[in-house]
Amino acid sequence: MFNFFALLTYEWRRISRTSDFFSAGGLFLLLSGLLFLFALLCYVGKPQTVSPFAFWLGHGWPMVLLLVPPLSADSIAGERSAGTLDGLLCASPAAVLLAKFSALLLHYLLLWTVALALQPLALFLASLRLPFPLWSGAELFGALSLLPLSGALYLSCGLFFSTIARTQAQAMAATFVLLFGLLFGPSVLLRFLPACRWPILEDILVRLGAASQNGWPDRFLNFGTVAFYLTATGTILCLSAVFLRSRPFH
Amino acid sequence: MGPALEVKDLCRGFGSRRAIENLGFSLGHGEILGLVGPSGAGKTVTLRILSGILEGTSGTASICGISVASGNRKIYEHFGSVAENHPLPGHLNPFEYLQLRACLKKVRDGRREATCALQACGLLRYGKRYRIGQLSHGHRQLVALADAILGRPSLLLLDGLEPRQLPAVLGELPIRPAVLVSGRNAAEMADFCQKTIFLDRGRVVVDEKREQRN
Repeated sequence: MFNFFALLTYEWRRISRTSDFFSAGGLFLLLSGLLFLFALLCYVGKPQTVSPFAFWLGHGWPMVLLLVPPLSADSIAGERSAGTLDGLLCASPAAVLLAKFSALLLHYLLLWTVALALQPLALFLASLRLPFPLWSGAELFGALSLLPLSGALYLSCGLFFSTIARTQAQAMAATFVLLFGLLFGPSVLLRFLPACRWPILEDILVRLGAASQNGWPDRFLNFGTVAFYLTATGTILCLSAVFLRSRPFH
Repeated sequence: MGPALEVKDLCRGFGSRRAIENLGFSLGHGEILGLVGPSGAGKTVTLRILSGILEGTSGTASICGISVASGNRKIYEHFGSVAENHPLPGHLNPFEYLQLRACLKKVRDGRREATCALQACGLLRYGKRYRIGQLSHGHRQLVALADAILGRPSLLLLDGLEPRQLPAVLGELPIRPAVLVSGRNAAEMADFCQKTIFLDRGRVVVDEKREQRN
């Protein structure tokens, strides 16, 4: 545990002391603000077709696709190419992975918190008002709760590819493809899946495609969904730790 | 007490090329052994295998009785290593780096030990003022040496360090560790080491002790 905090501090310094920490963060905030305004203008045009839950989560997915692959690809693959990974591995691979994952999640949540906090400013600058239906407390809370849960799952996928890929570019490309599939695949598959033939698969797809589907807000915060995201994240992290322990590319 | 380092019939190949072949030697506590040879002789590969960075194709190597290939992390408490162009995280300052390493190596009183290691390597004034990425190559190698002596290990594996720097650093240590150092300059190494092994294309060509030389 003592190792974990030392490694977390190390990883946070690694993230925050890079030259592009502030410039990339600023670009993320600018793009997410513009996307929010664009989604809002679309919503004002036809509010009845989109649920508030889907609005709050849906407009963030393009940013997740832009954010997670570069954020996670550098974690292990970057250290490996710099040669500094071996120095860390005198701690247990699980502690190294957990610290890296926690630092990534912290960075991810920090960016989203600032982006959400700046949304009123974006509204003010664009002289817009948030339509009343979007203030639905339960759906807003559900969407905000799903953000860290889904973020954890996506970052663990990115970390997994960063562990098994030889280079950062490979890890980034693989993460991008997987996230694209995870975000948009379930709704496509559900449309073509024969109903009730594979109920477990259908259940997984429904939970994975949380925000890309309209009309399932009564299910999003139940115990099953939370357990599903946490179990999937944990499993992927364990797999990554096994790969890291085997010291690939030596 | 067994030797600090024992190597038996160690081999490593890269494809069809043999980097080292049937290498064997042992190093007692407090002894200094030099691996001498031209580029491509197998010095770095040997030290990388002993540091656990590379795996040997066959043969065994053990540090203080713990096999290098066992994956036992307790082994990191017994040795420190410096590689040629030792990779270091440029975003930390030397003191932060040594504190992290002290924590990972489970060294007690990491802050004090980090300060002592910096002092022994003559880096105290750079400790918190500069990040490692801002230091010169020579100073970065000294940071790596400070990391290697952290926690007073029984064995130092040193690659690409100038032997002239070492007596001063080793003199600062309360207990003298065994040292395996590699280099190209035979005369310089012979002055510093009690025992020298000459390598050529992965094979031992001469194995001599200082007494034999005298």
